[in-house]
Amino acid sequence: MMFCHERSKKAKNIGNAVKILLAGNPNTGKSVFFNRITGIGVIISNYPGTTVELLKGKTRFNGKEIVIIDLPGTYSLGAGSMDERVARAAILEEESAIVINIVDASNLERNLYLTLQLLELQTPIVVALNMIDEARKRGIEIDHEKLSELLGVPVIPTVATRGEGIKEVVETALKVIDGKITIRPMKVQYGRDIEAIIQELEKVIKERLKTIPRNIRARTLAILLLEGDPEIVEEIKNIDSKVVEAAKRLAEKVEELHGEPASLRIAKERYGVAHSIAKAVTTRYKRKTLFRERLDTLTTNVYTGFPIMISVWVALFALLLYGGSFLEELIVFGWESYVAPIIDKGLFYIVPNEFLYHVISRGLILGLEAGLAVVVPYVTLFYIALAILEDTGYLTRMAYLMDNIMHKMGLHGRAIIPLIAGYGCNVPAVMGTRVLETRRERVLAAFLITLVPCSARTVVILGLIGQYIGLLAVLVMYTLNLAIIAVSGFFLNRIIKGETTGLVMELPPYRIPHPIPVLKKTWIRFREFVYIAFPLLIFGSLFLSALEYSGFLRPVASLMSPVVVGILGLPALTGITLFFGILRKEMTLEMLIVLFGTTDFLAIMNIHQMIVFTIVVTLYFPCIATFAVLGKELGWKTAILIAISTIILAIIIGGITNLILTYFWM
Amino acid sequence: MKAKDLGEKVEECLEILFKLEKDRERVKMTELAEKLRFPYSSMTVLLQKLSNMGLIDYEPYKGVKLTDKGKELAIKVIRRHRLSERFLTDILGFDWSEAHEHACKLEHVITNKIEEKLDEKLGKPTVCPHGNPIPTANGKIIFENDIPLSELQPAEEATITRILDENSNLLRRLVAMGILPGVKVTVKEKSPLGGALVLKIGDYEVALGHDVASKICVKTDVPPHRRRHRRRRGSRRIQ
Repeated sequence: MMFCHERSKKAKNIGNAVKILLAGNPNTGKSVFFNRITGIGVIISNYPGTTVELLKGKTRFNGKEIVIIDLPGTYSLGAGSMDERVARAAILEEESAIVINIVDASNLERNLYLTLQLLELQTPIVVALNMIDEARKRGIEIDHEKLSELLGVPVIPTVATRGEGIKEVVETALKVIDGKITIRPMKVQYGRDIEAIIQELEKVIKERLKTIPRNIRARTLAILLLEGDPEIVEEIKNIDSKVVEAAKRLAEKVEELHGEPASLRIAKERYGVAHSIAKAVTTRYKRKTLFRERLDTLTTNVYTGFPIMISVWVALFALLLYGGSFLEELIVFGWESYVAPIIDKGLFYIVPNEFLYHVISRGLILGLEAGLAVVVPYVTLFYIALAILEDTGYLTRMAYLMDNIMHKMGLHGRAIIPLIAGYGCNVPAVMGTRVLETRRERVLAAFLITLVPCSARTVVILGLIGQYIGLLAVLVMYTLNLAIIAVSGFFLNRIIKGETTGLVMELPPYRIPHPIPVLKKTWIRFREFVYIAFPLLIFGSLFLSALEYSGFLRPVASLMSPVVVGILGLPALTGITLFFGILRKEMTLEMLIVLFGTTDFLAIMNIHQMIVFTIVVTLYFPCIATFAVLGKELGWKTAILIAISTIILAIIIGGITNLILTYFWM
Repeated sequence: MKAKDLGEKVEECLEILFKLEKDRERVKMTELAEKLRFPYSSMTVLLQKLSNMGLIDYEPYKGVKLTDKGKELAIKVIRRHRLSERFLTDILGFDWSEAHEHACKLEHVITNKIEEKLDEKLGKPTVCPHGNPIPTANGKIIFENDIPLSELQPAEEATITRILDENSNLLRRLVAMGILPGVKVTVKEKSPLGGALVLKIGDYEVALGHDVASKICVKTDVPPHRRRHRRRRGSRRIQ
């Protein structure tokens, strides 16, 4: 009885859960803010029909269930990008919601632009004036009471990294919802002639439209239509094209009057309002140049920036190489000596059929080991390092420095971030291409990512080239690989059709990363990887071990031998290992050991064959997990095309290397 | 052929072309048709006519460009339009926002003589009620002497004058980040390798690719002749 009562109460609470949306510019400490309120149980979901991710978290506050949704960070709320579209849609959709607008105090004017747009949408908002400590360091003091008075909504100063003010913001938001605080949002007033035009269009809207979709006010709709917001224009066109025509006519009038497009004029005036508010509440003091500002100059100047960037890369790979392999050995040792035998024994008793037992035992143990041995040490370590670099703001500087080079490949600087992530693992790197604006750029970047030697391929490079030739040769391999990526990018840029955008990216001031968001980001990426890659690893392992035990592998090898032996000059049996490599690249090494029954690779291949083998393993077919992600993100046609191209590329480069080594070397 | 003999559409077409050409080399026929609110199907006829009169240079698929003669005539129409606007607001007491529409009609019926008298009566105004410059009687129009942002060197300050927006998406992105006409910017850093630059705008910094920077026009406070030696070789000025 009691139990029943409890449950129904709980269910009711969830149904009435208060929804709080977090909106704000990128780099305003929004994610730190989000992490401060929510616990570990954060759900990432794609907004329906898009690849834009929304983070959702739950928390209890003063006995109230609260759902917090972290909207993508945007500079405005127009439908310029998918992120903005989603942010606006979410705000308009969640009727009972309240928006917490996170505003960077050291950058008030530009941040207020979004605030004004939020006010125009008539959503109840509470402003969190974040990073006031940083603003103070930069000699900026903001009168938050006056700001609150001017905007007509509560403004609470916060320092999210230290958790200051966050409780108060949530409390205030709840009070606004309960009606304990009434807000009187200011009206964003435009110039006389623009106001006249807005009113004219408002009249047309009121006359022609009975209801406005998503409960947008007539005035707001008029402004959005005058701005030519593509999404809204499309929506209204389907209801009554006359309204859109009227809007177009009036927008042209604005253009004639002011000599600039209506959208620009309105934006300008909105900035004007933001400027006067910011000016009224800001006091500036003289201050010294901060160390981080000097660091900023050092890292963006070409002469100092490139050496710094290269040092950061070297340090990152050294960390992976030594830290990663140390962890890997530890994990593999633990797995093989303690866990694997137990699973094996268990399966032996459970599975009655001997054939099935071999397949399942081998597939399951190898599949899990692959995940543990590669993913856990290398990928996790890499993600932590990447998250730290990201949160300091350094990655944006790197993107700026690399912009010119990336341009030659039809990409812009921002694409460097997923490309670097590819060195850890291609799977999340391909997902990371979402930051790029057009499909063309995403396809290009994803293709190049599949050529980046991930940690699994690094294992092969180190195991063969590093072991038998030397570390210098490893370096040569990586350089060669970079050259192949550059050349491929150069050609792909000419082949793939579509739109290219340029680099427009804020360089946030350097900040000391906060451990909680770093770990959370790593955890979220890691989890995403595990969901996609682990099932594939295990399923693929099962499939391959079935092939192996049923004796189908030899025919496969002889089928591949014209290429493997004829073109690449490798021993015929290595074809089978390449087949296994589709599953996970470092398995090619393990299969060599199994098939040839020796750990001395020199007995299997000579140095020259090792070089060819490594090149082929690095380039051919992105592993099955990457392939799955490519298909999911870009469509199966593109994924298949990319996979086939990489196989051809591997055969060509491998073949050429074979020829060169045969005829010109010794 | 004199200006007054030309049809209203012809004059309007030249006027629009003149304004559009400020931002690009050639104007596409579809865009022109849309701005003119003229059926696309009849555009070829109109353009052929203009081309025969030697006012435009028209290449199918590439677009339209005004000839010098066309430019001269376009400036004349603009002068008459803006003078009419002044006349409507200053003398007849029209409201600013109304003046434009009526001036559109008036501009086509003004003769040289009326134009002269109007100019005198209004006290030789230099700007229209909306602040746009009125071309002088001999066809001089004061252009803003702006240069692409990509030509600036580190530590140079400038004010953005316009954004060449073939791709309105770029304009939206820039505007959202506070990069729009009238905004003061400083070039903080510039890559000698290919011209990507870091821009300081108020309290924040934005990195721009070279292609983006070349679409943003700015005006520096330093006079052009003093700037010139600081610029790199091969730089180009846009009209």
